[in-house]
Amino acid sequence: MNENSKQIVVVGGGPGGLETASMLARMGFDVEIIEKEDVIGGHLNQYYQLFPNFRDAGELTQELKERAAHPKIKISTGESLLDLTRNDGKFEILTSKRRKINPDAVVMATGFDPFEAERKEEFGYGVYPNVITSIELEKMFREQGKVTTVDGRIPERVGIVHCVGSRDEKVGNFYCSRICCICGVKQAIEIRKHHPETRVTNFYMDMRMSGQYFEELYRQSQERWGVYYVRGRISEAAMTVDGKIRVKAEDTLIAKPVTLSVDLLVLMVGIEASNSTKEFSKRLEIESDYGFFRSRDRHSEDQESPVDGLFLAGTAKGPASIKETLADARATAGKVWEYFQNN
Amino acid sequence: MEYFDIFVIPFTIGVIFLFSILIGKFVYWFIQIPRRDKRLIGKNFFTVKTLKSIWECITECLLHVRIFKTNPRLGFMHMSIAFGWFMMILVGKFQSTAATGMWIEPPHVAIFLKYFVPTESYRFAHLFAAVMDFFLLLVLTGIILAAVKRFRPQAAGMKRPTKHTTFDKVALISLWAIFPLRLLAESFTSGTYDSGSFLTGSLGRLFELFLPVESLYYPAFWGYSIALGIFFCAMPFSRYMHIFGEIGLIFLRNWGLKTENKVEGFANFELHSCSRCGMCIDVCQLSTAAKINDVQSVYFLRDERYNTLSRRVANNCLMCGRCEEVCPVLIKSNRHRLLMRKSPFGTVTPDFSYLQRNEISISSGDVAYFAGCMTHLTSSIKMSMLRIFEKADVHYTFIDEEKGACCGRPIMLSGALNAADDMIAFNKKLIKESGAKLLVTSCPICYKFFNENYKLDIPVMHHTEYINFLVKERKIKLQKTAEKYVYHDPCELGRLSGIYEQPRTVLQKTGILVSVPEEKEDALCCGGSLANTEINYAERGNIVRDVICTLSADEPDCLVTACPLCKKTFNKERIIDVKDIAEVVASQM
Ligand code: SF4
Ligand code: SF4
Ligand code: SF4
Repeated sequence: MNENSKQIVVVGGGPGGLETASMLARMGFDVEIIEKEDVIGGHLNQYYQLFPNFRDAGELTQELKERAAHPKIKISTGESLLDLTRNDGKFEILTSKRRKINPDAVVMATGFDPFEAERKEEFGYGVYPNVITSIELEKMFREQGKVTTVDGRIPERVGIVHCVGSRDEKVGNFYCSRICCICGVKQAIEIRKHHPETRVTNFYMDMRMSGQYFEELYRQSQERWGVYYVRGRISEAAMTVDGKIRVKAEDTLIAKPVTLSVDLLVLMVGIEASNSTKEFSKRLEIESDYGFFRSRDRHSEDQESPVDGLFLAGTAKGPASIKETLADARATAGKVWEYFQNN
Repeated sequence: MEYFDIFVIPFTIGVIFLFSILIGKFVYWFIQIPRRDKRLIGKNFFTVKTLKSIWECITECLLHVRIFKTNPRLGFMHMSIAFGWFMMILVGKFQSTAATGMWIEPPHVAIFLKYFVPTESYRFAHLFAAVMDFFLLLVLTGIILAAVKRFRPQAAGMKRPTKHTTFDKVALISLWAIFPLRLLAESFTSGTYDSGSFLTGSLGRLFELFLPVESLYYPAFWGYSIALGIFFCAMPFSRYMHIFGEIGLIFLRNWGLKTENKVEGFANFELHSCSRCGMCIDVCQLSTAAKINDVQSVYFLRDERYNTLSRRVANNCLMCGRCEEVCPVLIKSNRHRLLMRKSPFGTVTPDFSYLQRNEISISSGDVAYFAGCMTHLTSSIKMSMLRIFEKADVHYTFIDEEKGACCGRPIMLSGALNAADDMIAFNKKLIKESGAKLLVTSCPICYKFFNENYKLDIPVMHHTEYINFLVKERKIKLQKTAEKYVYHDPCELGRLSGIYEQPRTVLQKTGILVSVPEEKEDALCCGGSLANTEINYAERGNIVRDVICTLSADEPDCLVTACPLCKKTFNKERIIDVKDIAEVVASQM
């Protein structure tokens, strides 16, 4: 086999796409990354610090970008996929810039979109200015280094709502997004670190601390950082005359309704298949539940799609943390290499 | 014995059986009618209502005018069988009197007259024969149509045939056999005696050419009699009971009766009046958009009648009322459904008595505003209403601002009829304390409930009515934009409360309102109805998307509605911009 003659297109320039491309380039393949946004890095660009070790997200982005700045990688930003078909072992791609590409293999790293919080109208997102999403909180930390209400005050109380758009029959998403619990813990600690006077209360259904060091962080958040946790789903949020948000919930541990007024309400929005993920999983007829891509086998062939030569990486297959996404990207690169050993 | 032959026995047994059962049932149901309703009947008996009922029996039981209006082909089918048969009985009676000279005689004489008096040897005999042939032809046409409809429903303008029970099948087959057998029996007789009119006479002469008609007509009369006997025996247990049920229903309804809190008396007449015409299936969105085809009123009433109702059938219904709107018999099936729903709480009674201990002090105001739970979940509607009150300078009290209770309707709709009482008492007290002269609600579900179950001594307005009133009184002024709207009538506000014009008047002042075929009485249900506790997420989603696509065919800028539940249901799909009328108004004052 001659790696030099094989060309691979990676769709999506987020962490998954970048890492797959970097690995493939190092294996000797020619890779082109197609990214619909003007910059690469995906959602990672918006994050402040990463759980569970509070590593600076910008630093990781930088590292991933540097790895991808490789002579064998061509990066095309501001360009999206219009069409993808496969004929006689070759793919045919049409991009929004009317370019035709015929790669030998394609990696779909089309990722996720955060759940649109407007769909849970009862939380008042888009209606009450002091209701924000977890992504907006990340940006707040990143851009202004502090947490403020809409009129610029440091909040006295912050409420963090878990499972917004996940595990919720009412919006049709039965699945757990897996990263928001730990993200809620991380953000609660960050708020306490920045503003020790601010009280933070997390409303959760159950705390899913499955990753390494997550449980420890959860414990720390309570013992060291004094974060409060209420087990119960918020039923509704209303704005009071002074601009506060009053939330109603049931504390299911003591089986009593609780009401709490907060200055800022943060919604832990879940992971949904991105529009491109939804579109292409459907068009290629390799859709699993909720519009994510379906791999050949969840255990042994999780990087291969049912279509020969079409590979999958990262959150295009379902919720995953950045750590898992990067590991998956490397596995995908390995599987592409294996594919060309035989083809 | 003159005018008797042993072959009439099956028929006679059938008639005796049918009428004994029928009289038994009617008497039993009539006894069940509560005394208050009996007095009502007494009061209305000698009034024009009775005449109206007779007329309605003619137009509906015989001519089927209502079916005609919605579906002419189906209407014709029902009319030709019902009216044709009725006329055959009526004219047949006169014919037999003319032939035998007797006014009173056993019914078989008229029915089998051709056997007893095979030739046209009496006064007006040829005319009678021709008229009878004409009505026989009419009925036969109806039967052919019915048979075609069974196998190809589209031919009768229907999307789906109704599925039937065993009794129905027996009754159906014998009914289909009756008239062809009568045709054969009379034709063979005509052939033998060289009599008969244009249909039976001509056929008789034709059969005579190649059949031994003299020895065939007797067995044919046997067959005819047996078919009638079987039909009459199956009838009271089959859907054909509706022929008699509907007559009772029409009179009782016109005298002012309706189904209240128990399935007895009037409700039994209703239950036995469903002809299983199936018109309710074709309008039901569960059927058209979610492929659920076994829960509609026709099946629900059937199962209720035969005592085989399952929880799934009882609960799988949006209570949107679209089926009641098309039902030619005007059966209020949703009332039955409500009564047949079992409380989801089983033997545990939900306890809301703690509400009485909630000490809430309420401010006073001219207008009491009750947002309702659903409006609290769609806060933009609530905020818009508060802005409207401020703008119009209204002195208002927010009844359920903080520690409010639900109006009580959802829990009642789910079948726990009495559980709502605690909530009603609680809210009533607050409304009274506010001293308000008017109650405004944002949710049509609450609106209907306040109107019908609270017995408040102040008027209740939904915010569509109230906004319209404020605009009329020039309390708020609206700016017209070039936005194109389609208005979606919420079931509870439209079909169930009759409010159609007020929202339209308001919207015409804020933008361009385009009309759609699915509006007012024909409006669709948004699909979000709380009344359906059986439907799953995917099925519901199919209904909701189907509604949005239907309503946005003209590509409006915005879908406007007037119910927080409709808005929330539509909005979740993120297909088109959806606003409550209060939001539209608040942004354009
Ligand atoms: S990770 Fe936690 S917050 Fe996120 S969906 Fe799962 S349980 Fe809910
Ligand atoms: S409920 Fe009404 S519409 Fe439905 S089958 Fe019966 S008679 Fe027809
Ligand atoms: S009320 Fe609506 S959902 Fe229920 S059976 Fe009638 S049409 Fe169908």
